[in-house]
Amino acid sequence: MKRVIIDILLIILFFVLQTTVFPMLKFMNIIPNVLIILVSCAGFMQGDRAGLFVGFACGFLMDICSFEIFGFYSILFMFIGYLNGLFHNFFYLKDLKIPAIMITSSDLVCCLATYFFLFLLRSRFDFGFYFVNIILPEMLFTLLISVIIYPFLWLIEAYIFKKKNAESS
Amino acid sequence: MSPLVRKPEEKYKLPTKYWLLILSGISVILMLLTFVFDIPLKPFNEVVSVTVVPLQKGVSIVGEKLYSRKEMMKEINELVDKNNKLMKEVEDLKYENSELLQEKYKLNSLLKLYELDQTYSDYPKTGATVISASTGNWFSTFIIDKGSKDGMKVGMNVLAGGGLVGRITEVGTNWSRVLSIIDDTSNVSCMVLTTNDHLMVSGSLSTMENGYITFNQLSENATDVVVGDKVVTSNISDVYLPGIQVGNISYMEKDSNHLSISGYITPSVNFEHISEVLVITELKTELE
Repeated sequence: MKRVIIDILLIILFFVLQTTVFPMLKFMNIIPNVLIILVSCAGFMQGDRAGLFVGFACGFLMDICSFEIFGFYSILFMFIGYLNGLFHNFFYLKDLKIPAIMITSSDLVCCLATYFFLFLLRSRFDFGFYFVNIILPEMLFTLLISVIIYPFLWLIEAYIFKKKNAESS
Repeated sequence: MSPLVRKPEEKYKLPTKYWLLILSGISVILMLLTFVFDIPLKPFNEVVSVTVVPLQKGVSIVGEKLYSRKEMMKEINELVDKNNKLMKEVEDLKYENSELLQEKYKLNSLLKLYELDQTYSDYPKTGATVISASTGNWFSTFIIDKGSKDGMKVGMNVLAGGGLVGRITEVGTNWSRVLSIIDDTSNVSCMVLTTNDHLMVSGSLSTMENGYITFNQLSENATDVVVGDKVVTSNISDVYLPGIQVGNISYMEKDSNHLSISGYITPSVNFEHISEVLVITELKTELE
């Protein structure tokens, strides 16, 4: 129950950050994708089930505030969260390499899907341009921000873990 | 985790795979509803107006204050210099203005004579604050702090700094989403102010890197159009009121089919830092 409440608060916090604070901090006109950090972390920290729900909720908010086709981001983020959750068994709190790889590849998948479904299908064929100018900077920027955000999520996770162990024993 | 290894006292949970299937199904149905049948999803908008919009409002107000404070310190010196220069200019302009006012008075009476007094300064407008930018790098939409309870409707035109910003595409109780004209999916039917030649202005993510939006479908016979001409919204557009300034032509070339001309337009609004916008509370369809 506590986990659900914390997850909901985190989703709202990250969404507000994504839509208000980060657009002000944008560097080279690129906004980092902090929601994907949350979805990816929820997946491999808490398992596929949590990743799925957090992903769906984040995508749902994205859908309301961004694009005409309702449900596109919901389904995309949900699958990203779920797939990240499949790597839950490889997750160790102290290891930083795997989260970095997971977050970056999640962002890449998200960008590629956006490009493919929402741009390529409207005959915007210049993939090189979009890759160099949008996808690559967004990935790097997201990775950079995740270095700051990951420890924060890590602390919450460690705190809840401790509580959980204490309750069950 | 597989449901088979659950402890006996644990409550039964629907396996994750089924949840994945159910939620995918819901998403696909929603996509079909909005994309194929074009049904607006009102109830979901309300979820956001209750949860996220108040927070966004708070954060943007604080952010705006901090940002403006920072900018203020930086620009205060520049402004003193500028002020001196401008004061001189004001004196000149005051004189010019009084002359122009006299002419305007004359013009108004003449226009009244012809019943042509509908210019876009006459449209009823209301101010609104931008509370949230687009959620990513692919689209240029933003959220403003007025919604259906302030009389906002889908299709209303949005202005800033004297130029067209976009139109409202979705309305909640206390927020509305604006699709800006630089968005990759946006198309605006426009005309060249001097010659009344029609053209189609499309937002483009790839040219916006250099500060341009694109235009096309300008007739090849429009030989009087030159670079620098002003482009305004056309009177044949479905959603945009006529005569709103969009930008200036900055580059043009003949298409390979030798039937039409396309090129770039510099928008007259600076889309980098929009914080206040004006919404025209009159719909194009009401005019007819």
